[in-house]
Amino acid sequence: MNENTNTQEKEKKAKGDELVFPIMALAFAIYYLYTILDLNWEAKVNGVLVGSILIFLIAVFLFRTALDWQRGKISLKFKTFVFNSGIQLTRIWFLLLAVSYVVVIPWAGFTLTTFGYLVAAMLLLGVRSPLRLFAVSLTLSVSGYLFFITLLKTRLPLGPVERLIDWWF
Amino acid sequence: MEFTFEFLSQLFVTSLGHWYVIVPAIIIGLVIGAIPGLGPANTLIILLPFTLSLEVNAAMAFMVALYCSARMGAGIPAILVNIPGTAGAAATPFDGYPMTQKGMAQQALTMSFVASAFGGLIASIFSIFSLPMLARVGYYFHSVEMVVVMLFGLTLIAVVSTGNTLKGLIGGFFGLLVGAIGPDFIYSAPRATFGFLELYDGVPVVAALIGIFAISEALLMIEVESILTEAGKTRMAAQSPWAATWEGVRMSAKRWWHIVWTSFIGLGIGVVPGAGAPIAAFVAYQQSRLFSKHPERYGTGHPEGILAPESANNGVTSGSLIPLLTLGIPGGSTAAIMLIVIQFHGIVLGPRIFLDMPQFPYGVLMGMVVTYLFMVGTILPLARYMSRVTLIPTQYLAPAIISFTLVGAFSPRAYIFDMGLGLVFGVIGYIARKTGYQVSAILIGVILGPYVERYLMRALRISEGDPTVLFSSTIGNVLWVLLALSLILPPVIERLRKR
Repeated sequence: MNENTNTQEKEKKAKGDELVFPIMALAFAIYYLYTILDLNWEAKVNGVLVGSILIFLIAVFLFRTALDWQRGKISLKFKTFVFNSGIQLTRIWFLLLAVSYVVVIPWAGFTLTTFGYLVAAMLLLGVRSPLRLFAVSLTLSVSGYLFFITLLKTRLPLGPVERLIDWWF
Repeated sequence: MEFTFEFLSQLFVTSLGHWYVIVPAIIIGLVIGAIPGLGPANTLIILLPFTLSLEVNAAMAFMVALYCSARMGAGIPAILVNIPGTAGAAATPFDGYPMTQKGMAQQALTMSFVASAFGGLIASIFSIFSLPMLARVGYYFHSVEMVVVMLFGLTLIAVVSTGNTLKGLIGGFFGLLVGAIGPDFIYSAPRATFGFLELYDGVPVVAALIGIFAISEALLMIEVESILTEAGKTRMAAQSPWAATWEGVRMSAKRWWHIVWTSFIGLGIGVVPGAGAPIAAFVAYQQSRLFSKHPERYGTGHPEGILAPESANNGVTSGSLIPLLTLGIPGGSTAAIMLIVIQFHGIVLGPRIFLDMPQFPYGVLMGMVVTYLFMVGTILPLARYMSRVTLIPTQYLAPAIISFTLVGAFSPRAYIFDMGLGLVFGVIGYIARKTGYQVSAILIGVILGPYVERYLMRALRISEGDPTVLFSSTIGNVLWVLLALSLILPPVIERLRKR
């Protein structure tokens, strides 16, 4: 009996993950509507229209999911966003490295930060050869400097490397 | 003005004489089109001192060539790494990326190039012969019709981009609401800015594009060692270098009629100011699937799924220049920069230009024809080399995508905040991709959000707040019916097919 229940449970599609996006969208819609409460109708009308349609669509989606769950067709377990697998941890570290790239770049500048980020990210993703790490990161960051800063004159954050090159030439 | 063969051949020869600016512009355009965040508008602004120093016809040839090739370039990363260079190429990965995973990147790129070049060529030739007539199309689209066009486009995207219409619509309307962050159009009252001053101007589209497509793709990519499947790797290793390019040409030639009619969809939508390449690409994709004998193959690497959006988004290029050339109204940011250069040279655009200086508007379109002809010869051989990107292991590719696209998010406004915003959108895009919400619908929603509000406000103010104004025009009502049909018909057809 117990085994049968377990098998049935396994056969059910885990739909908990699919609720993350609509709940996030619902939270945003409520926040949006809250921020326009005291505004004039001209500033409200679009938000009310789009927000109401969005909330209605999410309600339909949640209702359908609840029906399927009640009928035993699906379970509300999470399958994708489970943080105990190796790849999820790597992904979180990878994302944190990207966040630190954004935090450091105003001070260290484009070239140095890109070089450091590429070394760290490739190391995290399993590149172990020091020569490859160094060569690929250096090539990419120098190419980026030449293309974006020298050729296209893009306004990128400048750091010690860019200032040194400016001073030198 | 006499519209004779002599007149046209004279324009053609003059345009050919601008090869020295057209060829470099094609190369620059391809590169900047392929890098998300560096659109043609940004590049033209950077190169403004150069274009202003050129004679006006050469400057226009340069800008038009850069614009067209950037449109084509945007399809390259869409096919190779599932990241469209611009929103206009957002429908290309549906079938382009699955072909890449199967080891057919070279064929997919070739088809994209052929469709872009010939789609653009057909649309620009047709534009030359029907310029004054096409100019009138814009007159029929007022704020009411534009609201319906935008919602129709978004609905099509929601229906096309995912197997689940409800999920597609949730994604699309979420995008619309995100696009409505920032000031309203009457009082400039900030809305839903989370207290960030940087959002008082609204959500920067480039940061959204980069986050939703590039960052989320990089976050997904690290799960595998290569973007190619095992079968794809074997195929890539087995195929001879040039045979795949020819196969792509053959596949395109076999479907020549498809390129022709989807280019006209692009041209027609391009003429309407504000509609643009993203809507054209999705409408063409949807129409292509609707009339296909094998709609079930779309989304799995079907050739027509690449040809339709690429041909349409290049058909838009000539269409979007028509309001500029005939009325002096720029249809988009790139056209606005072109207008600056034209005004700098003292040329006044408007209906009188056909009497005073007819060689100018026709010359611009002829420059486009010449550009597309040059493109065919210069770009096709590159497919072989570009497809090698797919052989790079993801442990190198993913970090490179993150660092270079974040820079793209920074460059338009020079705000570090936009890089952070790109990461936030990256996480949203990752959640959406992992749970079956199509990211294209979200992005198009973000792009269309401010336009929908602007046109809706205009319509409501004209009618003094009466919402029935939205059902007051014949064209608008026809579009409402089409919108309803696009939502109702696909599930009905699906059920009938299953029976």
